[in-house]
Amino acid sequence: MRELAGKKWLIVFDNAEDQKLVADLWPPAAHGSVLLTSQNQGWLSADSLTHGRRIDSFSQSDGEGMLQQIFKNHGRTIQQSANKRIVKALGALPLAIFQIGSYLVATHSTPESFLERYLNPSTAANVNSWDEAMPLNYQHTLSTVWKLGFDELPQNSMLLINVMALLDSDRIPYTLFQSGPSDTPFDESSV
Amino acid sequence: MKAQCEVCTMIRLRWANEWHRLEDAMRYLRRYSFVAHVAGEGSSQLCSIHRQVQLYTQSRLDAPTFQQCFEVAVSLLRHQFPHRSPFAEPFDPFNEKWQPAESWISHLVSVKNAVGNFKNRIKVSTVYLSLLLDGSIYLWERGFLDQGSELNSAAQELCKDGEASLLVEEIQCFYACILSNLGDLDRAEELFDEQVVQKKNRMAIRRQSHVRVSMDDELLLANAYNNLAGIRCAQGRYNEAELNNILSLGLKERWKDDRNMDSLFILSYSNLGNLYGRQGRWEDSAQNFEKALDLGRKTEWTLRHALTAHNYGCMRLAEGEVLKARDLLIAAFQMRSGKMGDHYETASTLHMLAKCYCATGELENAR
Repeated sequence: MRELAGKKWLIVFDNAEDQKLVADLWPPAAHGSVLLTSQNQGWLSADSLTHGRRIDSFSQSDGEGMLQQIFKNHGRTIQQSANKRIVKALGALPLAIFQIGSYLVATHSTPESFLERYLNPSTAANVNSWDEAMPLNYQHTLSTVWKLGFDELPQNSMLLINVMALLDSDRIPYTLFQSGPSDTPFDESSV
Repeated sequence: MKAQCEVCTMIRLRWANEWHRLEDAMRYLRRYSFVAHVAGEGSSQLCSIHRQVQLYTQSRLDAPTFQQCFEVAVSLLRHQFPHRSPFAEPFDPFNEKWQPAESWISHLVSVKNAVGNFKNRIKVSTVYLSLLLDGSIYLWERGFLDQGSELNSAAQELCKDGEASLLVEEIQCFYACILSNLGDLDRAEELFDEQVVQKKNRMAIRRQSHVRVSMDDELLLANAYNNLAGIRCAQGRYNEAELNNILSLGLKERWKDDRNMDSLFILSYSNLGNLYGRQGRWEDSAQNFEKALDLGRKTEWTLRHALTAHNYGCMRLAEGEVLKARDLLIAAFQMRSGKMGDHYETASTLHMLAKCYCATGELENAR
């Protein structure tokens, strides 16, 4: 830090999941900047941060634009309807669009065959772990990027998300988890 | 089993002072953006899971864990999703009791799809089967025929190697109704006939064991006779249909002092009205339809009343009493459009009303 005195500097902490992990590396200097990325939204309330921003998924149209560009970069095209369906299935997540787009152009899969495989969790795993076109400076695939956060979950959160994953993903009411006057709500004798 | 009980206990946080446990679990999920807040506050919050998170979470589940989570999800949904009884007032997917189904039906479909993805390598319970049945009937009556049929097919697939039970019979009965609506009358008749045989056999076994046959036993048989009568009428087997209807009515008459049977009588009188109308026995038909309408006016079962008015109107049109038909069909249309809006049954009434207007020369109204 003495060498950087008076100079502008930027430190990037990429995928800093826990404040403790970077505590020893945090610069004590008042000048310069730290850019930090994390899946852990707890950082948004950290005292050491002056500004935080949540990055959401792309909009549907931006996601389609990205997928179209990936195809274009490889001299190929994708039909609008197929583009729409794929981006919707991926939730317009940039990492997913990049990985799946790369997978599609590399394997010459049709959108229909891809979607059939991808929407089945047992066959989606192969696609999610495909990493052949990922940038050298980014080591994650769809299989591994979620694992980081999942490894941090306490047991009760893990149990909760396992149940929630079976439900309709768009609108899950809290009231569902506060129900049940008995352990056997269905009384067979009523039939 | 112990782990499952712990999950169930943790998940069913029904006391206010345990709300913090759910909120604590959710907080971690929100922290890592696995779930996002959609709307509402406190216990009325809605959240969502990103599609990618959902797929990843499902892919991590091994069969025992999936079984555990599936049972919890089914148990939670069963408590929320309305339950249909074959003895209750007529099924009306638009009334207050069934409004919650609108919020939960997509979750039931999602669970069904997840089970399919696991290639049915899990054990299912009667709770899940009853959910599929109630969900399929709800969707079908709402006019979502494909989705309703899919849920019923899923239930049937799970039942096929299992033991017979009242619930399995109900599932097969509704399948027969679907077949009937789709025009496969012969297969529907076979299934409805099986229903009658199964119920009669059950009652015979009870008698042989010196167990008293209950009201529910006899009313289930009466319902089965009703269904068989309806399909045989559609097949043109009028004598058999009349006998089935009379048997059904007789069973209901036996218990009319023990329970409010208005909805069941309306069904029987309407069936007889249809049956006699098809045979050109106009007076007998009108007599029965009038009985059904009289009972219907005393109730708030709008859709059942609308169905009676629609069928009565069709009979009057066949008879040539066009003006009477028109008035009945207008009443049916007003009830159906007011309750159901754009629904295939509303369209059916409009179609018959158009025929009336054509017959009276009111071509603009017909158009």
